[in-house]
Amino acid sequence: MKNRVLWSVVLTVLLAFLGFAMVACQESGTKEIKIADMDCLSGSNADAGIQDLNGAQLAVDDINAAGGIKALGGAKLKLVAVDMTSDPKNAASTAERVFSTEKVVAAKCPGISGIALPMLPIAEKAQVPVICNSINDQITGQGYKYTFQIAPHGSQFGNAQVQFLKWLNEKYKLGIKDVAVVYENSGYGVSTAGGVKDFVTKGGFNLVLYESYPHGFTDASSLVTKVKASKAQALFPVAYTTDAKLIISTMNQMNVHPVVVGGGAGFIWPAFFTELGPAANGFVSVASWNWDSKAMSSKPELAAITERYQKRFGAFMGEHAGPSYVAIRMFADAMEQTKSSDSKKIRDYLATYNNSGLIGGMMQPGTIKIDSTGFNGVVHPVMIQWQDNLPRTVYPEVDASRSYMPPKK
Amino acid sequence: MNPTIFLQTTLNGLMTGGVYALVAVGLTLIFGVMKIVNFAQGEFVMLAMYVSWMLATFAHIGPYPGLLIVGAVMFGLGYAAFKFLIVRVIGKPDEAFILLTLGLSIVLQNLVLVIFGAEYFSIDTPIKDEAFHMGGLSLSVPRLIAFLVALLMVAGLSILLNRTDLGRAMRATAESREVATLLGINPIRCFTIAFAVGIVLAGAAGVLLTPMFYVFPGVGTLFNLTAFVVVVLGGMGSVTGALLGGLIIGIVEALSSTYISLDLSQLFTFLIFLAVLFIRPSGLFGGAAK
Repeated sequence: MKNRVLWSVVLTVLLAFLGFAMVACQESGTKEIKIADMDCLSGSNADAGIQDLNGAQLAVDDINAAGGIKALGGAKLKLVAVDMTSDPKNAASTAERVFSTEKVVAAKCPGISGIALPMLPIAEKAQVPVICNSINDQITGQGYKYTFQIAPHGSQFGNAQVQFLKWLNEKYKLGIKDVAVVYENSGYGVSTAGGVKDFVTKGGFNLVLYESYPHGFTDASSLVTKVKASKAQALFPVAYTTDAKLIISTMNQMNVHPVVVGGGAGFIWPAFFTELGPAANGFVSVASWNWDSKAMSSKPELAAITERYQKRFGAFMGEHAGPSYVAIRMFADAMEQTKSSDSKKIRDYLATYNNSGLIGGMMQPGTIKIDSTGFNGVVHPVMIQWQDNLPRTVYPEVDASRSYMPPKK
Repeated sequence: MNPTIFLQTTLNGLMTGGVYALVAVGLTLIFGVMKIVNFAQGEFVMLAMYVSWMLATFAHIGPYPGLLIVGAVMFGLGYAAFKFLIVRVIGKPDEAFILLTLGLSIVLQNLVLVIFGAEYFSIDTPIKDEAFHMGGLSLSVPRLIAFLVALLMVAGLSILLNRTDLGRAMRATAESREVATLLGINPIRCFTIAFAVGIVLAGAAGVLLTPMFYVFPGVGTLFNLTAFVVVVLGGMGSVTGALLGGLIIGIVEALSSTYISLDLSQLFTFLIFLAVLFIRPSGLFGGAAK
């Protein structure tokens, strides 16, 4: 009995000592600052989400390798990868859980608009600054104080696509008049296609088909038959990867070949090439960002980032990875400048963010300037064309790294 | 009305209908013999798609050459599912079977989710973009193959059920289990074979779908509802009915998609379904020979 009491006392003292030692070590060691990357890591949008995460992870590793946050004694950043799944219904509850348990000072919001929108009020309530690389206009259209958006608005996409088509007509005498728009019947599809529709009619084109399809449909032959029947010379499809691949492969099977001007997303991600192979070359799409736009490729330090990404992840840095990388660097920049990892101070610094250096240089036109709504008001989309198995920036000419290759007649 | 577009649409519908029939035929066989509805049929299609995808990705065996391997795997799975699970509810009220197969479908879907994650996979085979072109019409090769195999399956099943001793034993068991037992037929053996063959048919459907669709845990549910509609429309338990039902649904869907709206195509499918049931409550071939 005596022995047992003695052992209990010794064990308690030892445990207490260990506990104190651990706390002491943590306090004297380098501080760790947690940033969340909240993306769709599973489900139908996982291919985009994983690119987002890769971009954010590269940024964190680059910052840590260069000595961490110097203004905070070399504090290291820790990326907390959060799977938001691809279901908007889970977004708010996942965000609620992360903000209440993970003690993150900032978060990169989902690259998919439909998942980003439901989590923004939660970030606002938790007072955690979030930077979005998703494109829905409503992200910065609802008066949130803790939300910032560096990618162009979805409503700018339609204009960019139509301007591009006009430019093609003028420069390459394609004589395109009849245009078809097909879109996924979802928040992303309806809002993007609506923008395209307005600009198509205002731009002097004939809208010969405006057709929605259900998300996750299993057969695109009826849709492609409609495109064929409409005799459209140009097609504007708005689709995520799986549907984009289904539409394009059905068009190939059915020998329907209008000039395709993709609505971003599924048409510019690496999976598009994985599925189509060299047949992807020639396809054109609007993009919120591209790895080889002039802003990126003209500066060796920035070009080195895309090379590091390609080497590490085995794919080019896409429109999700690039701005995701930028978002993490903006958080780090805010911590350096404010000498603090306080969420409120980071938010206040980002609210008037204006950078034309290496961080701002990554976004077209080479500057990031956050306006009063939290939106990067100077940004514009680019047009890409698949050439030599990679998406190359071809328009506007000020951003272009390659010339457009007209379709073979 | 442009005749080429009309013909193309009808062709699209026929091919899609073949795919639906393919998924439905296994379901109707199990119902015809065992008088039970297998709610996990779509999940067995999904499992076969994963096996086919693994064969193509890791062993470089394409979906069509791999058909026999997948068939054997699915027979094993069907046999095991019957021996360990289904047999326990034979002779019990219908709810037991409904709950068991519904539960099995949830378990299978989540098991695959845990093992493979929710990512979409597709196989890399040159045939998936192949098509025949003729006078402005085009015909996708993987869909044509699926359609032809659906016809072959229906013919093969009809021969099995009508011309072989095993088939006669199955039909006798379906008619009356007690009488069949008195005649020396082992009903459990008939049920085992019918269930396993039904799962093999689901497997064949899965393999033939792999070049056309993506492989992901929820893919079975995309076809499940349509397969039930096809089976009920054709007459529960009728193999010929499943084929005809599949083709009708495929054509209605294609015509309404092309001439009305893609978003409304399901509405028309169900309207036709209701109309047929109104006129013939037991389905087109309901009550006929299995």
